[in-house]
Amino acid sequence: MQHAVWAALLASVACGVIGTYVVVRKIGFISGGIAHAAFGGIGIGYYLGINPLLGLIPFSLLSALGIGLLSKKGKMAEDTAIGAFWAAGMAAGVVFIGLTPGYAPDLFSYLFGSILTVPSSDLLMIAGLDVLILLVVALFFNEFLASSFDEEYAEASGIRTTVLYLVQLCLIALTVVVLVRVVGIVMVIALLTIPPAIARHFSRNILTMMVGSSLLCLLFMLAGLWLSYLFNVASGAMIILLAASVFMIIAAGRRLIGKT
Amino acid sequence: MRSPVVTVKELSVSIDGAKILEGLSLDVHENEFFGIVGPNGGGKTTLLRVILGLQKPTSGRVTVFGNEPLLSRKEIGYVPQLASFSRDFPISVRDAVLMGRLSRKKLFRPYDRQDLELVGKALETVGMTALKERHVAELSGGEMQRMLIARALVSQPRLLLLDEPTASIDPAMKTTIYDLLDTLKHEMTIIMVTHDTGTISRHVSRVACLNCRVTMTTGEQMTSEALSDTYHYPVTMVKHGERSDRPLRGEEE
Repeated sequence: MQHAVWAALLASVACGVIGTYVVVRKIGFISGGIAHAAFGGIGIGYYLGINPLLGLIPFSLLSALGIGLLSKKGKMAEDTAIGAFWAAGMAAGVVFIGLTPGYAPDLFSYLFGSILTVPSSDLLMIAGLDVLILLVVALFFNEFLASSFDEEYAEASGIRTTVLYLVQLCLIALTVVVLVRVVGIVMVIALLTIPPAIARHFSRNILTMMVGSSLLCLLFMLAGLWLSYLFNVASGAMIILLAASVFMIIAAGRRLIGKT
Repeated sequence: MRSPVVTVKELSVSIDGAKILEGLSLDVHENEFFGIVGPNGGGKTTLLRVILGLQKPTSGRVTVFGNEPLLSRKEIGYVPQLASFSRDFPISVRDAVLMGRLSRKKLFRPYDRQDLELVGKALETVGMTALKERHVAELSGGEMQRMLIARALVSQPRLLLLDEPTASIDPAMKTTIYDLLDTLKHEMTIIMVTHDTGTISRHVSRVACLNCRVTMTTGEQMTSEALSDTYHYPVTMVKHGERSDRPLRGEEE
């Protein structure tokens, strides 16, 4: 249980910070594509007999760069690039797991999350990725803000917006790795979008949106964990259901009081 | 003779096989207020993007202050069309204007005290000091345009490019923006793209009527005939304060 609380705390940091960029840049679908394509990395991890998270990191980074480069430089429609990587990654995962002798024991925990079974080694890896993500965001904070707000203006100011975009996609890929143990690759997209979308209603700048989003992330994870224990259901799914319910209630409430 | 700030020689631009600009040549001189009018798709914004270095020419050459556009970026202030960003982005007026310092700031360095002072001055110039902490989503169309002008001014440009800054704003705010530009033209060179053919002629020294090719005229001599040639249909000039029985189709676009 202690590990679960630590995992929730560490995952909520990356989730809130990077999820904020996902929401303000409106790239939720790309994040979903990177998350699903990352299944190929889990398959490779199983096939090579290493920790699947170690297979996940390079595979999700390559997927992020592939989707980003194809849509920005390859003159390919963004949704086409996402769709191709999404399906190809899942297919690669299925093929590699099929080629692996024996049974894949924790496969379901990578697909749908299992925060209660996160080992210490994964906690250390998640903490390391958190530090890396925060460091990169701190270094490029003003440049990320400018390219997220007005990409054309940022480019006109001499900012290399395509490079920054690719860096942001790589950060999303690393956040996917962080969140896989909590909610699984199938539902990562929900945690990257719902808490920041709620936080945006109450934020006047991107920094407060990041903090609010991280706190909401943590709240949903801990409350979802408690509810899953109470009703004896899967924790990952309960976390997402709780987050989605709060999101819909707030959206409906805002509409009722005349704020959209 | 004042030295040219922008020199365009035989410029042609094609995008995805479509010819946008063809054989365009013009010079814009120091402290000139230069207008660009023309129909949608006539190449006005493309010309601005080439001057900014955001669009490569297919053929021909453009120089800004004697250099390639990319090398002169620090000298250029840019006011894009409103639609280029999402209005519900969580950002205050002050932080949005601060982005104008990006071209002067070194990578990894935070903004410093001088940057913040310049933001204060730029907001004062456009009359928005009281609104500096306001969220951009709470601004009216005219306030948003003035904020974008402040963002361009905070980089202390020698050349100011504006892409339809008077679109979708009320007549009173339009007058405010033209008055502001009339003041600024003594300090910098201004190039402004607009559909506002009726008003711009009273403020600019020269106008380029652009529809793939260019016809040059002075503001005072901009006639219905010149505009009709550019827009490819009859256009009647209406100077503000005058009446006309026919609608100005150039403005309807």
